[in-house]
Amino acid sequence: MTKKKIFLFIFISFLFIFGVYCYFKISKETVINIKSASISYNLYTDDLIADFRDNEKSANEKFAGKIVKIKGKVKEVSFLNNTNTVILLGDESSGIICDFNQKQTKEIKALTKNQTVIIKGIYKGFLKDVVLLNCLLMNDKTNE
Amino acid sequence: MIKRMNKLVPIFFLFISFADFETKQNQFIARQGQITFFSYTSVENIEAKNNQVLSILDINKQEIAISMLMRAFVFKKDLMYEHFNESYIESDLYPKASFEGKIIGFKTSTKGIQTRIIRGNLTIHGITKEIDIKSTIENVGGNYIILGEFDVFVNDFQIKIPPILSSNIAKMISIQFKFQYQPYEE
Repeated sequence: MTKKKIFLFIFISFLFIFGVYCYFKISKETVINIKSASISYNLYTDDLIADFRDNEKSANEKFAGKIVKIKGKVKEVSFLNNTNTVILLGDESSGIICDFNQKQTKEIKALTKNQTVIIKGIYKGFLKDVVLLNCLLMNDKTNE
Repeated sequence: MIKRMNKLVPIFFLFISFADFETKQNQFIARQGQITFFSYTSVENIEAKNNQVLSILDINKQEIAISMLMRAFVFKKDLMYEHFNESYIESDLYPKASFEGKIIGFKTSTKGIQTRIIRGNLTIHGITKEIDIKSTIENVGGNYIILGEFDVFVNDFQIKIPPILSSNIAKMISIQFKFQYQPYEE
Protein backbone atom coordinates (compact mmCIF):
# COMPACT_ATOMS: atom_id res chain seq x y z
CA MET A 1 0.00 0.00 0.00
CA THR A 2 1.84 3.00 -1.20
CA LYS A 3 0.94 6.60 -0.66
CA LYS A 4 0.01 6.80 -4.33
CA LYS A 5 -2.58 4.05 -4.00
CA ILE A 6 -4.22 5.67 -0.98
CA PHE A 7 -4.37 8.95 -2.77
CA LEU A 8 -5.93 7.28 -5.82
CA PHE A 9 -8.50 5.54 -3.64
CA ILE A 10 -9.53 8.79 -1.97
CA PHE A 11 -9.65 10.53 -5.31
CA ILE A 12 -11.90 7.88 -6.87
CA SER A 13 -14.27 7.76 -3.90
CA PHE A 14 -14.52 11.54 -3.97
CA LEU A 15 -15.33 11.39 -7.67
CA PHE A 16 -17.98 8.77 -7.00
CA ILE A 17 -19.66 10.79 -4.23
CA PHE A 18 -19.58 13.89 -6.40
CA GLY A 19 -21.17 11.92 -9.26
CA VAL A 20 -23.97 10.65 -7.04
CA TYR A 21 -24.58 14.16 -5.72
CA CYS A 22 -24.78 15.57 -9.23
CA TYR A 23 -27.13 12.82 -10.34
CA PHE A 24 -29.56 13.57 -7.52
CA LYS A 25 -29.34 17.29 -8.05
CA ILE A 26 -30.11 16.96 -11.76
CA SER A 27 -32.88 14.42 -11.43
CA LYS A 28 -34.56 16.22 -8.54
CA GLU A 29 -38.21 16.84 -9.25
CA THR A 30 -39.73 20.22 -8.66
CA VAL A 31 -40.97 20.42 -5.12
CA ILE A 32 -41.63 23.96 -4.08
CA ASN A 33 -42.63 24.22 -0.49
CA ILE A 34 -44.83 27.24 -0.75
CA LYS A 35 -46.19 26.79 2.74
CA SER A 36 -42.93 27.53 4.48
CA ALA A 37 -41.55 29.95 1.89
CA SER A 38 -41.25 33.51 3.12
CA ILE A 39 -43.42 36.21 1.61
CA SER A 40 -41.83 39.06 -0.30
CA TYR A 41 -44.93 41.16 -0.85
CA ASN A 42 -48.23 41.43 0.96
CA LEU A 43 -50.84 43.03 -1.26
CA TYR A 44 -54.44 43.63 -2.22
CA THR A 45 -55.62 42.73 -5.72
CA ASP A 46 -56.20 46.39 -6.62
CA ASP A 47 -52.65 47.39 -5.64
CA LEU A 48 -51.07 44.67 -7.72
CA ILE A 49 -53.09 45.51 -10.82
CA ALA A 50 -52.56 49.24 -10.32
CA ASP A 51 -48.81 48.62 -10.30
CA PHE A 52 -49.09 47.07 -13.74
CA ARG A 53 -51.34 49.78 -15.09
CA ASP A 54 -48.69 52.34 -14.09
CA ASN A 55 -45.63 50.60 -15.46
CA GLU A 56 -45.65 47.00 -16.56
CA LYS A 57 -41.90 46.75 -17.00
CA SER A 58 -40.91 48.03 -13.57
CA ALA A 59 -43.66 46.00 -11.91
CA ASN A 60 -42.37 42.89 -13.67
CA GLU A 61 -38.87 43.54 -12.41
CA LYS A 62 -40.17 44.14 -8.91
CA PHE A 63 -42.28 41.00 -8.65
CA ALA A 64 -40.64 38.45 -11.02
CA GLY A 65 -40.29 35.09 -9.32
CA LYS A 66 -41.24 36.58 -5.94
CA ILE A 67 -43.67 35.04 -3.52
CA VAL A 68 -46.66 37.27 -2.96
CA LYS A 69 -49.54 37.10 -0.56
CA ILE A 70 -52.68 38.62 -1.91
CA LYS A 71 -56.08 39.44 -0.52
CA GLY A 72 -59.05 39.67 -2.84
CA LYS A 73 -62.49 38.49 -3.87
CA VAL A 74 -63.21 35.32 -5.82
CA LYS A 75 -64.50 36.02 -9.31
CA GLU A 76 -64.44 32.53 -10.73
CA VAL A 77 -63.24 29.03 -9.93
CA SER A 78 -62.19 26.77 -12.80
CA PHE A 79 -61.01 23.20 -13.21
CA LEU A 80 -60.20 23.46 -16.92
CA ASN A 81 -57.56 21.04 -18.26
CA ASN A 82 -57.19 19.39 -14.84
CA THR A 83 -55.94 22.55 -13.22
CA ASN A 84 -57.32 24.10 -10.06
CA THR A 85 -57.67 27.79 -10.70
CA VAL A 86 -59.12 30.65 -8.75
CA ILE A 87 -59.56 33.94 -10.58
CA LEU A 88 -59.65 36.97 -8.30
CA LEU A 89 -61.67 40.02 -9.13
CA GLY A 90 -59.60 42.97 -10.30
CA ASP A 91 -60.69 46.03 -12.22
CA GLU A 92 -63.00 45.97 -15.25
CA SER A 93 -60.59 44.21 -17.61
CA SER A 94 -57.95 42.50 -15.47
CA GLY A 95 -57.97 39.97 -12.71
CA ILE A 96 -55.54 37.64 -11.00
CA ILE A 97 -55.24 34.04 -12.14
CA CYS A 98 -54.08 31.78 -9.30
CA ASP A 99 -53.09 28.27 -10.26
CA PHE A 100 -53.08 25.74 -7.42
CA ASN A 101 -51.37 22.44 -6.90
CA GLN A 102 -53.81 19.56 -6.80
CA LYS A 103 -53.78 19.28 -3.00
CA GLN A 104 -56.44 21.84 -2.13
CA THR A 105 -59.21 20.68 -4.48
CA LYS A 106 -61.72 20.28 -1.68
CA GLU A 107 -61.13 23.75 -0.27
CA ILE A 108 -61.26 25.33 -3.72
CA LYS A 109 -64.53 23.59 -4.57
CA ALA A 110 -66.05 25.08 -1.43
CA LEU A 111 -65.27 28.66 -2.47
CA THR A 112 -68.15 30.91 -3.42
CA LYS A 113 -68.27 33.93 -5.68
CA ASN A 114 -67.24 37.21 -4.00
CA GLN A 115 -65.82 35.39 -0.99
CA THR A 116 -62.75 37.13 0.39
CA VAL A 117 -59.65 34.95 0.32
CA ILE A 118 -55.95 35.26 1.02
CA ILE A 119 -53.73 33.46 -1.46
CA LYS A 120 -50.01 32.94 -1.45
CA GLY A 121 -48.27 32.19 -4.74
CA ILE A 122 -45.30 32.69 -7.00
CA TYR A 123 -45.64 35.67 -9.27
CA LYS A 124 -45.03 34.83 -12.95
CA GLY A 125 -46.08 37.87 -14.94
CA PHE A 126 -48.87 39.84 -16.49
CA LEU A 127 -50.76 39.22 -19.72
CA LYS A 128 -54.31 40.46 -19.48
CA ASP A 129 -54.37 39.21 -15.93
CA VAL A 130 -51.66 38.75 -13.35
CA VAL A 131 -50.53 35.10 -13.23
CA LEU A 132 -49.61 33.39 -9.96
CA LEU A 133 -48.52 29.75 -9.86
CA ASN A 134 -48.01 27.19 -7.07
CA CYS A 135 -50.70 28.93 -5.08
CA LEU A 136 -51.86 28.12 -1.60
CA LEU A 137 -55.13 29.12 0.01
CA MET A 138 -54.41 30.71 3.37
CA ASN A 139 -57.88 30.98 4.85
CA ASP A 140 -60.48 28.58 3.61
CA LYS A 141 -63.23 29.48 6.04
CA THR A 142 -63.02 33.23 6.64
CA ASN A 143 -65.88 35.18 5.20
CA GLU A 144 -65.99 38.91 5.39
CA MET B 1 -85.95 71.41 -35.28
CA ILE B 2 -85.13 70.84 -31.61
CA LYS B 3 -88.05 68.47 -31.31
CA ARG B 4 -86.72 66.51 -34.23
CA MET B 5 -83.28 66.44 -32.67
CA ASN B 6 -84.76 65.07 -29.49
CA LYS B 7 -86.15 62.20 -31.45
CA LEU B 8 -82.96 61.60 -33.35
CA VAL B 9 -80.60 61.62 -30.41
CA PRO B 10 -81.97 58.47 -28.75
CA ILE B 11 -81.98 56.69 -32.09
CA PHE B 12 -78.40 57.75 -32.64
CA PHE B 13 -77.41 56.40 -29.25
CA LEU B 14 -79.29 53.23 -29.91
CA PHE B 15 -77.19 52.71 -33.03
CA ILE B 16 -73.98 53.32 -31.12
CA SER B 17 -74.83 50.87 -28.40
CA PHE B 18 -75.95 48.35 -30.97
CA ALA B 19 -72.69 48.67 -32.90
CA ASP B 20 -70.76 48.24 -29.68
CA PHE B 21 -72.75 45.19 -28.79
CA GLU B 22 -72.03 43.68 -32.19
CA THR B 23 -68.26 44.05 -32.01
CA LYS B 24 -68.20 42.36 -28.64
CA GLN B 25 -70.17 39.44 -29.98
CA ASN B 26 -67.46 38.83 -32.55
CA GLN B 27 -64.71 38.53 -30.01
CA PHE B 28 -63.90 35.51 -27.92
CA ILE B 29 -61.34 35.11 -25.18
CA ALA B 30 -59.42 32.21 -23.66
CA ARG B 31 -57.61 33.11 -20.45
CA GLN B 32 -56.55 29.59 -19.65
CA GLY B 33 -55.31 28.27 -22.94
CA GLN B 34 -52.97 25.33 -22.77
CA ILE B 35 -49.64 25.01 -24.58
CA THR B 36 -47.40 21.99 -24.15
CA PHE B 37 -44.04 21.49 -25.78
CA PHE B 38 -42.00 18.34 -26.16
CA SER B 39 -38.37 17.64 -26.83
CA TYR B 40 -37.62 14.00 -27.57
CA THR B 41 -34.06 12.71 -27.67
CA SER B 42 -32.49 9.35 -26.92
CA VAL B 43 -30.96 10.86 -23.76
CA GLU B 44 -34.07 12.36 -22.20
CA ASN B 45 -37.59 13.55 -22.91
CA ILE B 46 -38.57 16.99 -21.80
CA GLU B 47 -42.10 18.22 -21.50
CA ALA B 48 -43.39 21.56 -20.26
CA LYS B 49 -46.89 22.86 -19.88
CA ASN B 50 -48.40 26.33 -19.63
CA ASN B 51 -52.04 26.53 -18.57
CA GLN B 52 -52.36 30.31 -18.49
CA VAL B 53 -52.03 31.22 -22.14
CA LEU B 54 -54.10 34.19 -23.26
CA SER B 55 -55.82 34.26 -26.62
CA ILE B 56 -58.33 36.49 -28.32
CA LEU B 57 -60.27 35.35 -31.35
CA ASP B 58 -62.14 37.69 -33.67
CA ILE B 59 -64.45 35.63 -35.83
CA ASN B 60 -65.45 38.45 -38.16
CA LYS B 61 -61.90 39.52 -38.97
CA GLN B 62 -60.83 35.83 -38.78
CA GLU B 63 -57.94 36.90 -36.59
CA ILE B 64 -56.33 35.21 -33.65
CA ALA B 65 -53.85 36.64 -31.13
CA ILE B 66 -51.97 34.61 -28.53
CA SER B 67 -49.67 35.67 -25.73
CA MET B 68 -47.95 33.65 -23.03
CA LEU B 69 -45.50 34.01 -20.17
CA MET B 70 -42.35 31.94 -20.57
CA ARG B 71 -41.97 31.65 -16.80
CA ALA B 72 -45.39 30.06 -16.54
CA PHE B 73 -44.17 26.87 -18.23
CA VAL B 74 -44.06 24.08 -15.69
CA PHE B 75 -41.36 21.42 -15.99
CA LYS B 76 -40.89 18.13 -14.17
CA LYS B 77 -37.46 19.13 -12.92
CA ASP B 78 -36.13 22.33 -11.40
CA LEU B 79 -33.01 22.33 -13.49
CA MET B 80 -34.95 22.17 -16.75
CA TYR B 81 -36.97 25.22 -15.69
CA GLU B 82 -33.79 27.05 -14.76
CA HIS B 83 -31.99 26.29 -18.02
CA PHE B 84 -35.05 27.11 -20.08
CA ASN B 85 -35.64 30.52 -18.51
CA GLU B 86 -32.11 31.63 -17.78
CA SER B 87 -30.02 30.21 -20.62
CA TYR B 88 -32.21 29.39 -23.60
CA ILE B 89 -35.23 31.67 -23.64
CA GLU B 90 -33.70 34.42 -21.49
CA SER B 91 -37.02 35.24 -19.84
CA ASP B 92 -35.70 38.41 -18.20
CA LEU B 93 -35.16 39.92 -21.64
CA TYR B 94 -38.02 38.18 -23.44
CA PRO B 95 -40.69 37.35 -20.85
CA LYS B 96 -43.39 36.62 -23.42
CA ALA B 97 -43.90 34.66 -26.60
CA SER B 98 -46.69 35.65 -28.93
CA PHE B 99 -48.51 34.77 -32.10
CA GLU B 100 -50.72 36.84 -34.35
CA GLY B 101 -52.40 35.32 -37.33
CA LYS B 102 -55.30 34.90 -39.65
CA ILE B 103 -57.47 31.83 -40.00
CA ILE B 104 -57.64 31.18 -43.72
CA GLY B 105 -61.07 30.32 -45.05
CA PHE B 106 -62.73 30.33 -41.63
CA LYS B 107 -66.51 30.15 -41.80
CA THR B 108 -68.63 31.24 -38.87
CA SER B 109 -71.63 29.50 -40.38
CA THR B 110 -70.01 26.06 -40.14
CA LYS B 111 -71.31 24.10 -37.18
CA GLY B 112 -69.12 21.44 -35.63
CA ILE B 113 -65.52 20.88 -36.68
CA GLN B 114 -63.57 22.60 -39.45
CA THR B 115 -59.88 22.16 -40.22
CA ARG B 116 -58.11 25.34 -41.27
CA ILE B 117 -54.65 26.78 -41.75
CA ILE B 118 -53.72 29.63 -39.43
CA ARG B 119 -51.03 31.80 -40.99
CA GLY B 120 -49.20 34.31 -38.88
CA ASN B 121 -46.14 35.53 -37.07
CA LEU B 122 -44.72 33.62 -34.14
CA THR B 123 -42.38 35.50 -31.81
CA ILE B 124 -40.15 33.58 -29.42
CA HIS B 125 -36.93 34.85 -27.84
CA GLY B 126 -37.40 38.19 -29.62
CA ILE B 127 -37.29 36.55 -33.07
CA THR B 128 -40.32 36.64 -35.35
CA LYS B 129 -41.05 33.93 -37.94
CA GLU B 130 -43.94 33.43 -40.29
CA ILE B 131 -45.56 30.04 -39.89
CA ASP B 132 -48.57 28.05 -41.04
CA ILE B 133 -50.36 25.99 -38.43
CA LYS B 134 -52.95 23.38 -39.26
CA SER B 135 -55.70 23.68 -36.68
CA THR B 136 -58.99 22.15 -35.77
CA ILE B 137 -61.69 24.63 -34.95
CA GLU B 138 -64.79 23.39 -33.22
CA ASN B 139 -67.95 25.38 -32.73
CA VAL B 140 -69.70 24.21 -29.58
CA GLY B 141 -72.97 26.00 -29.02
CA GLY B 142 -71.61 29.33 -30.26
CA ASN B 143 -68.30 29.04 -28.39
CA TYR B 144 -65.08 27.91 -30.01
CA ILE B 145 -62.35 25.38 -29.27
CA ILE B 146 -59.16 25.61 -31.32
CA LEU B 147 -56.51 22.94 -31.13
CA GLY B 148 -53.58 21.64 -33.09
CA GLU B 149 -49.88 20.99 -33.13
CA PHE B 150 -46.82 22.11 -35.02
CA ASP B 151 -43.03 21.93 -34.91
CA VAL B 152 -40.43 24.64 -34.55
CA PHE B 153 -36.68 24.48 -34.95
CA VAL B 154 -34.63 25.71 -32.02
CA ASN B 155 -32.16 27.28 -34.48
CA ASP B 156 -34.81 29.47 -36.09
CA PHE B 157 -35.21 31.45 -32.90
CA GLN B 158 -31.50 31.88 -32.13
CA ILE B 159 -31.73 29.79 -29.00
CA LYS B 160 -28.22 28.74 -28.10
CA ILE B 161 -27.70 25.38 -26.49
CA PRO B 162 -24.20 24.58 -25.21
CA PRO B 163 -22.52 21.64 -27.03
CA ILE B 164 -22.40 19.61 -23.81
CA LEU B 165 -26.20 19.62 -23.58
CA SER B 166 -26.98 19.44 -27.28
CA SER B 167 -27.64 15.70 -27.08
CA ASN B 168 -30.28 16.30 -24.37
CA ILE B 169 -32.35 18.76 -26.32
CA ALA B 170 -34.04 18.06 -29.63
CA LYS B 171 -33.32 20.25 -32.66
CA MET B 172 -37.01 20.26 -33.38
CA ILE B 173 -39.54 20.98 -30.64
CA SER B 174 -43.14 19.92 -31.08
CA ILE B 175 -45.82 22.18 -29.69
CA GLN B 176 -49.43 21.35 -28.87
CA PHE B 177 -52.09 23.90 -28.14
CA LYS B 178 -55.66 23.97 -26.98
CA PHE B 179 -57.82 27.05 -26.47
CA GLN B 180 -61.35 27.05 -25.14
CA TYR B 181 -62.97 30.38 -25.87
CA GLN B 182 -65.75 32.25 -24.16
CA PRO B 183 -67.51 35.39 -25.37
CA TYR B 184 -65.36 38.40 -24.62
CA GLU B 185 -66.94 40.69 -22.08
CA GLU B 186 -65.19 43.63 -20.51
